[in-house]
Amino acid sequence: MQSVENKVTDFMTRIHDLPDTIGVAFSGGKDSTALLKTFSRIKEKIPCRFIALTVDEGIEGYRLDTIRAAEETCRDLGVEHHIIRFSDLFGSSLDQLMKESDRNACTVCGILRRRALEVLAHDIGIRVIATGHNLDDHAQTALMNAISGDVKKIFGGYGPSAWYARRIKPFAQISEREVTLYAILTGLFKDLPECPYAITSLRGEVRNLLYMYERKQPGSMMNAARCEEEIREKLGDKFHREPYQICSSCGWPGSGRVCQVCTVLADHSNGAI
Amino acid sequence: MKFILPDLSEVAIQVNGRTIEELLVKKGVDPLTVLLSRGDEIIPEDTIPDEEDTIRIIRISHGG
Repeated sequence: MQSVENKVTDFMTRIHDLPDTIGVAFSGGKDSTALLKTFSRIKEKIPCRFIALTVDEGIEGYRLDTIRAAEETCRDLGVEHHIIRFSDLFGSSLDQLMKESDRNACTVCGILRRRALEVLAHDIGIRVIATGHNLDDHAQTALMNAISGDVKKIFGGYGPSAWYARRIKPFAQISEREVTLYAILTGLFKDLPECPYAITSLRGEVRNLLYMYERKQPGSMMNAARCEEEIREKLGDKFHREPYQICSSCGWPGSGRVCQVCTVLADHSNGAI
Repeated sequence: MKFILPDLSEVAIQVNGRTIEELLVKKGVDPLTVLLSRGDEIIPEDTIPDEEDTIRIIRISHGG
C-alpha cells in the first residue's frame, strides 16, 4: 500500500500548476476506485482537492453494477460525485447505438465517452482530470498504436486546446496487479463484471499477447510502456501536431470539419452506424 | 488442496510439491491474470501450499 501511495504522492507533487480542484475519471472499477482511495489517503500531501466524475454509457448487464459500486465508494470516502449519461447527452445509450451497427463498440464508446467526460468537466469547471490508467494499459496502448501505425497517437494527437481538460495518469508506472492488490488490501475491491463489448476488442487481444510475452520474458510489459514514453520524450518536440479544426456541427475542436462525435451520431440518425 | 475459483465454485487438486503457479497452469489459468489468497492473506504464486489449504483465486478484472 505504501509503495502505491508513495508513487502517487511523488507523481502529484511533481506536477506544476495544479488547480484547486481536479476531477477523477471514476468508472467504479478497480483502477479508478484504487486511485480515488489513494487520493483519499494522501489528501494531506497533495496540493488540491478532488471530485469523482462518472460516465454512464448505458451498457446493460455491466454499467449499472459499476455505477452502484461507484456511488457506494464515493459515499464511503465522502467524495463529491457527478454522473453524466449517454442517454441524456446523446439521446441514446451505447447499447442502442450499437444495435445493427458494424462499427467496433469500443471505438464508438471511446469517442463518445471522451466527449461526455469533457462536457461534465466543462460544466463544473474542472480543467485537470486524473485517470486510473496503469502500466499494463500503457503497454497495451503502445502495442495498439504500433499495430495501427497511427503515429500521431503516440504524440497526443493534435495541438493544445483550451476546450479540453488536461489529463494526468498517476498510476502510469504501477502495474495492474499492484493496483488490484492495493484495492484488495484497502478493502475496496469488488469483483465486478467486465464490459461485454471488451471481449472482442483489439485491446483484449493485445492484452493476452502481452501476458504471453511477459511470461516468456518478464519485464516485457514495462519495456513496451517505457519505449513509447521514451519516444514521446525524445521526439515529442520534433513532431508536428496538426491544429484542431472546429466542428461545423457542434463547435467542439476535432479532427475534421465534422468531429468524430457528430460523425458517429449522424450515422446513427441515418440508420447507418 | 482446494481452489476457490472466481465464480466461487471449488475444485480439489493434489499439490504433490508443486507451486500454486504450476497448479494454475495445469488448470488452464494464466497466473498473471489472477491474485491468490489463503485465508485473509494474499500469497505469491511461487508458494507451495499444503494439501489441506484452501486457495482463493481472485480474477484481475480489466477496464477499470
